[in-house]
Amino acid sequence: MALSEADVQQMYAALTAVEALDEIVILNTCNRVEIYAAGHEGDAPEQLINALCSIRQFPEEEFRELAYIKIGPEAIEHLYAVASGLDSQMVGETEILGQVKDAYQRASKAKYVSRRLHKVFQKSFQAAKWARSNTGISQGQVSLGNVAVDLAQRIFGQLKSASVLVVGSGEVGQDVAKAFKGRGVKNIRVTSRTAGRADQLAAEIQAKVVPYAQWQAELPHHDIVLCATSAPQAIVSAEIIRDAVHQRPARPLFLIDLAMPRDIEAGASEVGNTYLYNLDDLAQIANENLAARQAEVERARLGLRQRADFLWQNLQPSL
Amino acid sequence: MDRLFVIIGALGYLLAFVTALGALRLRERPPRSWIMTAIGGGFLFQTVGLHLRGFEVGSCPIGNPYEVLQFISWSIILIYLLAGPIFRLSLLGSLSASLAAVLSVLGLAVPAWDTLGSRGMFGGDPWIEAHAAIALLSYGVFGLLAATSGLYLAQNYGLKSKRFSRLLNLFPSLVELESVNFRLLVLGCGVLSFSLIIGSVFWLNNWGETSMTKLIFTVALWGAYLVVLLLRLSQKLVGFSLSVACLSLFAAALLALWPVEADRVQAHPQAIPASVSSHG
Repeated sequence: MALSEADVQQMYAALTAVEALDEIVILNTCNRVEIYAAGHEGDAPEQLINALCSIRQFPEEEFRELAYIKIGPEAIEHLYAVASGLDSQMVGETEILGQVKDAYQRASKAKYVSRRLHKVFQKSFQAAKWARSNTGISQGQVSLGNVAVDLAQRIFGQLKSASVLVVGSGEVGQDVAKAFKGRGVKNIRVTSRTAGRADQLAAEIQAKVVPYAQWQAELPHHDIVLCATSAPQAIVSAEIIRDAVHQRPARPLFLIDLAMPRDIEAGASEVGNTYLYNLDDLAQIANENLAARQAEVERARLGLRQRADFLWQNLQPSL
Repeated sequence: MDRLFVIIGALGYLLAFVTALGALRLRERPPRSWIMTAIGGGFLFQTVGLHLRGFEVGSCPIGNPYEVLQFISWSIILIYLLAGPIFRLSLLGSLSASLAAVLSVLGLAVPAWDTLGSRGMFGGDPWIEAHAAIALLSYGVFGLLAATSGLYLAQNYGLKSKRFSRLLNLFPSLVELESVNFRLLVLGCGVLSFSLIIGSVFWLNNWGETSMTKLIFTVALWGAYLVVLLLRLSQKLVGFSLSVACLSLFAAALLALWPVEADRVQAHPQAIPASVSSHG
């Protein structure tokens, strides 16, 4: 449930009218709505819940079942975990920290934040930095696109001068192509049996289109070949790869087969200076990295809990 | 006294080696400032040690296996300090320090290798002395080439076997390693060729005085590296095959030091342990 900008403003207006609440920050992302508040009365949490339910005309009993309510050091610890990416679907992702910062800055600018939430949010940014630097929650790529880019960097180093040929316009292929674009690859070419889809993808990632009839001739001129067609059988044989490598003996060739059934014959991996990864290979690496991140989560949580308790103790005199 | 300086130098390289190893075990990039300080300090002490030894023997200190290993170790670091920044290869400093530490410690570990057979070994001929010193400098280059080839093979194995380790993520890419291997091969061949040109001046002027064993091994090694270079230039030997060739050739080059040394000992049977000589 994401709120619109108008909903957020309406919520701010309603909550600032609550007598017991002094400071408010609303964190609103595509899959998370959280309200951080500081008050001066013992029943401030109850008043906040009442206000929220009345704004949205939500039955209070149902709200209490669906919502999570954290008070005191638990609330600080929760914010730390959110900012660190521990509470995200993709553990350790960094986008959420930007969203937390953005929510804080907007609330701060509108003067909904004072001394206590200023301190809590500033400390949450430090805590997120600590968690990322001192634990392995952000290490190892967990998306297929980033895994493929990491592999390409192990082969080519800097990717700015590498060239990518995208064959087919499957959804996974598009994601991986975008990951390459996002990591600085300038020379990307796209080809597809359906010209319109190739044009669409090319426009999205500022790539050039190669006519489908010509892509095999283009293959030796590219470092990374990304296949994601829906062809019923392999469209790239080991022989084609051998010929391509023969034309560029000193430069490695990275083949990424994201199609199901496979687009590239398995025998292509036997060709020297060629590195073939399919969807399963990339998924396995992503899963291994995710498992490694999960193993680090408890260590990060423990550190964040200690930091949250410490901050709570520091805030006590001012409460 | 000179050995003490060499020992401190080796400790510097070892410190850099251990620091790099520790960082890599934690899957982190080795701290560059620490590595550079340890390498720089080690190099200074080793230079002083070799200078003192050279002063003692009255020539370039490359007259016995201990001195040869120290000189190769010193050459590797010299090449790294002079050409390292051009290569722009992460881990090259750590790699050079590791290799220099291994060679230096190996030389120090066997006291029997440190004989003073080198005293007057070159008969005061600066040409032959320069030839020998430059030839060993090329060994330093080829040693570094063997190490970067080893990195290439490790990275290649990881990619081919689809192992995704954070350690391999810290290694340079295949393309970077291939490029550095090529440049080191050109440099090594150039230095060795230069050494042979200088050596041939002595050989032509002193026909019959040059050991045939040494001559055959040296020319064979030079020819082999040259063939590898030509094959690389024609792009017939690249990547994996080039790395295997460079690694194998350096192993052969090190092994070739033994028959050459045996031949030298036969020619100079009066060799005395350095420690006995310096106190006697």
